Amino acid sequence: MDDECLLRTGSDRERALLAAGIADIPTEESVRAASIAIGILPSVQPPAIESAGLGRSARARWMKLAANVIAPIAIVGGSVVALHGAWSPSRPLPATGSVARAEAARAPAIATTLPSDDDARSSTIPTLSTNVEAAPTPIAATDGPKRKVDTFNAQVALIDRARARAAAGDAGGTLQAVDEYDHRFPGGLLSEEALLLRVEAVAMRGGRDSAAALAKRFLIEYPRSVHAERLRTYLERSSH
Amino acid sequence: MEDRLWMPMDATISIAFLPERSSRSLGASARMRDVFTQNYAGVWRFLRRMGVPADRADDAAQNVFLVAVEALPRIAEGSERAFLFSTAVRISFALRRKLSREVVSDTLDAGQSSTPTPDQLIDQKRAREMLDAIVDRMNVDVRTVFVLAEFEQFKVPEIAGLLGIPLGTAASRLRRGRDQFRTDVARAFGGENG
Repeated sequence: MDDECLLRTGSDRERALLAAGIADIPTEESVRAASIAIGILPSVQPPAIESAGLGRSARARWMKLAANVIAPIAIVGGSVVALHGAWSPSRPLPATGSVARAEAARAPAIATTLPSDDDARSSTIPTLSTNVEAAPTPIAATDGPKRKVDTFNAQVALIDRARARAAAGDAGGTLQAVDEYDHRFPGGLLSEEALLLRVEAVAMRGGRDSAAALAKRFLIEYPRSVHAERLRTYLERSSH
Repeated sequence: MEDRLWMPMDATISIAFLPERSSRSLGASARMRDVFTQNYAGVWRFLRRMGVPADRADDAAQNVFLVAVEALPRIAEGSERAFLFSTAVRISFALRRKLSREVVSDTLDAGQSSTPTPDQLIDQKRAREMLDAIVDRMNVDVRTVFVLAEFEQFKVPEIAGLLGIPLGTAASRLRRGRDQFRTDVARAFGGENG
């Protein structure tokens, strides 16, 4: 950051406006869709600052500065007022409405939490957290954040195992892994991927009709999936 | 990234998102994951501040990373961030052209809105609207430099390299952007900028 950076030298109002822009971050759904589209899944537990796209040390320092200089400031309509309390990287804000949507709730990791008005009374800078809550898994519903992350790690591990078996051409191993996933995490965050792998495994075994039926089920459950078009193509070709 | 399609091949179909299987590809995948994790939010935010509408920002950001996936083997280690934002600049310009968003309002809407009530405390959305109204008034070249510097902490030499413009031009645009920002913030707050 250069010495004339407005975040350092600007007026309270200027800095408050800039902070609002810095705090503008994509939704879980956005992160998830992009990560799948480019062929990766987000890291299971990225450091909070890294998940904001601020992973390098200089940017981390800048974010801390932003927190320090902006925390006591907030826009109150057309004016700027001081706030009580200050944001701390170690004190993430609670998740609010932005993570409430059902689609977003299935997103793995990298949750973006924007403050509600109440939240913002104690902070103007939202933070990011590894958020795997809202998945209707039996374990996640009542446990703390660490347990939720552990649960998500377990989900990822199972899906990774299924992928590895599929990559090795092992249909049985793939099905075993996705069966275990569905049993342990019904309606889990990666159910979409599990079903996709199931389609592949069944097709691998030569179960053309069963695979087609599963593909149709996938399209019903996930009509907006990034894989939907490919599955439609698959169904068209397999019907000939 | 290989564009895999679902195709029945000897009763086997490919999974679109399965990682490549060679060790080289696995390394590339890990690199891409790091690049994504560290930069997705910044790229997305940059696109929004450049005027890409909310309903297009996700697709636009995704496109930036799809371009990066293709180009990754040719991107020098350590240059990933510059590549991403350079691509984001091009995509935002293309989108602006497409959406005919070059014409911006002469009025500072946020500053002319009704007097806020005490209940409108700390409204991030309102602050962002005000911010966007202000940066919308900037010339697009000035805006690009301003957003890269103020929101994404690029230094002037980095911006010059990223945009392919002389250092002095980048510095001049940043200065103009900051001056205009200060002026418009003051204007939005009725002449005060405290």
